[in-house]
Amino acid sequence: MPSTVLEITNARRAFADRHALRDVSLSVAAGETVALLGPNGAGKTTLIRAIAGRLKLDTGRVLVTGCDPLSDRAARHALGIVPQSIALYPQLTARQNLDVLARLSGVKSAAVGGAVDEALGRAGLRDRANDRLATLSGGMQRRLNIVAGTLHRPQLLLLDEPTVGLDLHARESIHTLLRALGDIGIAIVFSTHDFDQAAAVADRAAFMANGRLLQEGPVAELITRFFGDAKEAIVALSQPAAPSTQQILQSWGLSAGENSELWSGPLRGGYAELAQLENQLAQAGARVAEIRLREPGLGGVFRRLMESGQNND
Amino acid sequence: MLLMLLNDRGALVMAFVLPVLFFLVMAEIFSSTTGGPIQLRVAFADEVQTELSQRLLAALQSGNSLEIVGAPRNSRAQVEALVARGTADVGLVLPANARSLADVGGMGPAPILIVSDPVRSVTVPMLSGQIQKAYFEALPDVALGSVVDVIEDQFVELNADQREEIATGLAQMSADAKAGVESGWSFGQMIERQDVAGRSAATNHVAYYAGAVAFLFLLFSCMQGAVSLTEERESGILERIMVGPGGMAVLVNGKFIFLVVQGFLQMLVIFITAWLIYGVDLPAQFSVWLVITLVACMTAAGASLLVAAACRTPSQARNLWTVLVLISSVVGGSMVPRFFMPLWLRDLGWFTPNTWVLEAYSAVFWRDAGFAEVLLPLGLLVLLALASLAAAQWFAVCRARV
Repeated sequence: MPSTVLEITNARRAFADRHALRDVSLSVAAGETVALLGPNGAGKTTLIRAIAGRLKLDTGRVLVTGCDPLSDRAARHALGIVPQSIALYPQLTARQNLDVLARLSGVKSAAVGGAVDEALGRAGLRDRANDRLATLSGGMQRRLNIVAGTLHRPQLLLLDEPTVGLDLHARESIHTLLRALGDIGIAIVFSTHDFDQAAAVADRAAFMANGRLLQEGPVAELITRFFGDAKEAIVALSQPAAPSTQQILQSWGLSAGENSELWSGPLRGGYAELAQLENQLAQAGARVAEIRLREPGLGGVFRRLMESGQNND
Repeated sequence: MLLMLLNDRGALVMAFVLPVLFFLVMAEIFSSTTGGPIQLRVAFADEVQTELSQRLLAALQSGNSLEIVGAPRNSRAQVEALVARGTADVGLVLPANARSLADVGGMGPAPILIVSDPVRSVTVPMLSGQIQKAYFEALPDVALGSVVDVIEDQFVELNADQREEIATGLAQMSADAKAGVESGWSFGQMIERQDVAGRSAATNHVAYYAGAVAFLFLLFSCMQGAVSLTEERESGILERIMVGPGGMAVLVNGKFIFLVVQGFLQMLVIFITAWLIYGVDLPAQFSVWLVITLVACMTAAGASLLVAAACRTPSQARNLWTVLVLISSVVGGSMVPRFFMPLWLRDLGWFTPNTWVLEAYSAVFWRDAGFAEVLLPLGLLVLLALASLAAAQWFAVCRARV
């Protein structure tokens, strides 16, 4: 059984009267990838900062390989962090950046060259090693930003929104890189708003809202937990739902998100039931812009969590 | 633009507070040099202890343009030491083995001796003027008697022929004066000058400005490097390094060492230029210069890192540092020699690193001082450098934390 790299127990932290973390407990095993999901202000970044030892908890504790990252230097050897911004020197080349950061990360001089070459290879940037950072594409810069956090071979890598602002192709390359890091035994905890990214990369997902950890577990298990063998029905109305329409949708177990024109929920039985729902809506005079079934994903789990009121104070 | 300016406190300070502060300091300096008498710190030694000497010294002390330093009854050697150390801007000795103060045109050593540091040679005519004023105000009987003596000595009986002779003589004196040749009696014959240091004033002046300019630019160049600390915080590099095994100390100490080396090379280039072109004797003083320069670089590096670490943004750090460097350089003597300043401003200079660095360089290049004599300024500067470095590390960690 893989050893536990990260152990968070009842972490609480408040800023003035705002509770950023409320009794959060989470453990991550070696080589495991965990996605922290949730809306803005959910506490994802605060939790990452607490794991990184950049934030003192009011109560509770964080242990990285059994050590307190706030006070124990041993924990820092096991930790690597990849900030949301490109935390690199724009005027230096890719190789120079990694060289400097390896030395600042405490990599011994004799090992710097090897660590840099390995990181460049992992990022797929060997042929651009001598190009200045500013001349690299956004995706390349992101990949370099990520491997720069692995130069001292940490056991746990923390990433804050690793694909923010990237196009689909660049995001795919980041996903590949993260999976490769997981394959070599690095435990990864990353925050994201992107459910598809979480599903593509993470072994487990942890949903947060209002400082609470609402649900966490393996991605497939979470989906089964909320949808069973049902599909996810999506109904998009071309105007806000009238009371009669709302009644129909709710009777089918669908609920609206923030936008009362978009409804979703689990639907058992498949397309026959979907056609039945569509008929009822048409008879009620609802103007349906789109109605479809899809395989449920983490987005559906998140919507169900929000609808269930688990995020309420 | 207005909203951006209003939301940027650093820019506001640069736009409205710094110019006023700068103006106030410069106005204080230049109003004292052009708008009124410059206050001099003078050490006296009255070896003759006559009624005339006491009246002259009392008259000199009654004005507000001189501040007396040292013991009430200094010896000549003490006066020389006070001037050599820079405690007094200039010294005044009434020597025992000289002519009387009443003997204006006689033979023998002058009754007034001004002891000066060549680098402050401007203080000699300033004090000379003060003495002349005091002499004619405090000793008018002596002055007039001396004039009669001179007339009797040089023009004797005043008959018609002699009047013509006087006219011819006065015309000759006038012509001589126009030609810059001294003739007859002048107050200058009453005064002699003695320098306490052997080097030429010109060379010493260059040494002073080499140190002053080099340290001023050292301070500015240090900020260019130190502000990268703030930029790294903004970009997230600091967070990355702080979380990793290297820790913040590695980064801050690395920057400190780099800034010291860069600053040292910068200072070396300026002093080598001063040596090659103006003859500043760098090779003879190299070992002490090396220590002073390294300490000066440590101070500038530590202080600039402290400001960079304490400020929230790079522009805030640059603005604050510019304000601090300009004020410190003006008050500390990097722009205008401190003896031109009012006394209170000179005293304020001791709170700036510029003054201590320039004092150390002055001791070496003007007074041929050894290492022991610069221990105090160097000790203070090292303390400042280390305290700044420690504070910079603390701020860097605090700012990177939430």
